[in-house]
Amino acid sequence: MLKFTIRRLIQSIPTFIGITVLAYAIMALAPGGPVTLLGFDPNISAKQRQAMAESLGVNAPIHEQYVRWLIGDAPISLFGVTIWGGREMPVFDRRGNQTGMEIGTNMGILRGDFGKSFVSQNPVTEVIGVRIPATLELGLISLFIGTVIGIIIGILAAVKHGGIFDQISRVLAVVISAVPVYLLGLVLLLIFGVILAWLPMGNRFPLKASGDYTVIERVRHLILPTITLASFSVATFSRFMRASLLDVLNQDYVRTARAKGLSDRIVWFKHASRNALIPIATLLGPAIPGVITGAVLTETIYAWPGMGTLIVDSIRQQDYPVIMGVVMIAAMATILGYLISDILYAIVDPRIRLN
Amino acid sequence: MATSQISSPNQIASLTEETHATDSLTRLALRRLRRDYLTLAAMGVLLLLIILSMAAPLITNALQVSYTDTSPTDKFLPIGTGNHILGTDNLGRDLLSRLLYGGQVSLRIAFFASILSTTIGVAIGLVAGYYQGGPFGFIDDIIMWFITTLNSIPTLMLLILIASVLTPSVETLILVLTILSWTGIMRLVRGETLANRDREYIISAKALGAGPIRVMFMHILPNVFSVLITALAIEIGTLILVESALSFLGLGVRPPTPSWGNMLTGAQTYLRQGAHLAIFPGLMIVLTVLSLYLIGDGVRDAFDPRNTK
Repeated sequence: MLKFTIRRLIQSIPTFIGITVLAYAIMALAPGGPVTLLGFDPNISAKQRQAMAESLGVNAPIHEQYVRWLIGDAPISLFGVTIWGGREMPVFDRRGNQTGMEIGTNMGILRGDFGKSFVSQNPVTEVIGVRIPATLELGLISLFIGTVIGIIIGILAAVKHGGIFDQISRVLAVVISAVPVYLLGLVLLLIFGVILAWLPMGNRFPLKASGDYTVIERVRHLILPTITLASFSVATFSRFMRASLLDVLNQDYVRTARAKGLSDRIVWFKHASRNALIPIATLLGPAIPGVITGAVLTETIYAWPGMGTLIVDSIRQQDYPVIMGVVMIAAMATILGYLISDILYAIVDPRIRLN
Repeated sequence: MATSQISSPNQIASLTEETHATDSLTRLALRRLRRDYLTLAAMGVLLLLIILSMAAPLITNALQVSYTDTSPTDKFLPIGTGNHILGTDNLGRDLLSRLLYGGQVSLRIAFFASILSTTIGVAIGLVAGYYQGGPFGFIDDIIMWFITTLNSIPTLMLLILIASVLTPSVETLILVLTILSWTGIMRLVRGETLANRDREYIISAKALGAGPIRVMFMHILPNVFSVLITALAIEIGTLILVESALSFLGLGVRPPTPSWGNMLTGAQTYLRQGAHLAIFPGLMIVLTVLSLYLIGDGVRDAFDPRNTK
């Protein structure tokens, strides 16, 4: 099992490198960049702009910039031994005159340094870090609720397959997959926020001077975004679970269990459902990019202060380091999701890891 | 899956009857489609939406409304005010004409992008599948590595990244969506090619002297055709959803050009004044996408050789 995990980890390295190259290449096409942004500032001279560009390293060839972005220019030391001395970068005074050379402090994304936000000048990891709990809260709760409800619907549809419940759930699953996430959000907002006025129109917390919120207040704010984001998982998981359980119900051991005189209930829920759950493990990986995508739209509708609203705002402000940071985190979460679902699958199905 | 497995002797009998019949699979499929009223209805709805969008100039002329003229005094007019059959939006523009012109834009982007991406996907899928494992197997390895990489970034994130560096026009959106969406069809065609390439009919074609290009396009491709139509229908639907999501975020089709997605931008802020502004564009998207998904499912069922209806 350990061998499988390690092999699978090594396999994801070329994918990760590919992602960094792809994302950086797209970013390099950007017309703006920090120096152009400062170019609009009348208080900055051409000389200072030049100095700025030099110290940021944006005049270097693109492949050099990529390597700097990846590993940075600060020294690398391992167990107290310096294995790379770092790179010397020119230092400028406020007027734009070079005053000397100094070893850089940028750590590079491989060491968790995504640079500084153009807008707030705070480290990107800090800017994103503040937003991660909100996205995790919404994403994980929605994924959990979506999976559980989806599986339950799938089981009920399969055991009574061909019945009314089965038909309705299948039609609904197709309809939901044709409804854009943000439209569902708008309709829910219209019904429960505007017409009935039962639930808040958005945000994670009520607007209050003090920082303490009751559990009820937080749950009320969570309800609509969770339903919106979970709907897609419910549709996917219910259809998958139904198909999987129908496959299992046709197998010999289920017939044997019936022949031994076990009740329908025990056969369905104890024998068949457990085995039908196995293929669901493979769905969890692909579900993560789905949840991230849905979160961007859901957060925008409900003004949820997570990474989704952050990336949308950052695009309006051309804050490229933050955009890159969010994209890289989303990509890493996706790779991790596939990794976990492969490992889960290998745990429950020994044939995979022996291959 | 399990539901379509042959379970009764009757079904087996009717299957053998079908294989003995003189009808080709395509003709059988068309006959099944003619009796599949749900798919026919979906086709009808889609056709109607396309015709209405194409007739947008005629309709707006007849009603003497414009999809671009703003009017500060006519904001948020309700449904059925004068010539504004569906009312007006937050800038006082006629909603119906914007829906129709928006449909032109949304449909054009999705249709062109899906046709382009299907063409690319088919070509690359055939080549990758045909050479997989052989002396040219590295072609397949490289393509699969590229696809794994591309699929490891959530598509919307990648689109956001691209949209943030280039201001999208309708043409660039078609291009970008094409580049990002050929992988699904490619995997499908690759899989089908792998399943077909060692069959007897391919071996006999090769024995008769057919080269790789001829085998791929004249022998394998026709056998993938029904799968492809299904995939194409679903692909167009998915692309409409993706384009509308991007435009909704303000990163796709830029105003004042209307698209069903960007008509919903900011709709949550004026739900109180005009809920119909969110409902109608949303309804158009749902109707179109649902029709396309149903058509895809219907075509798949019609071409399924195990289908005995």
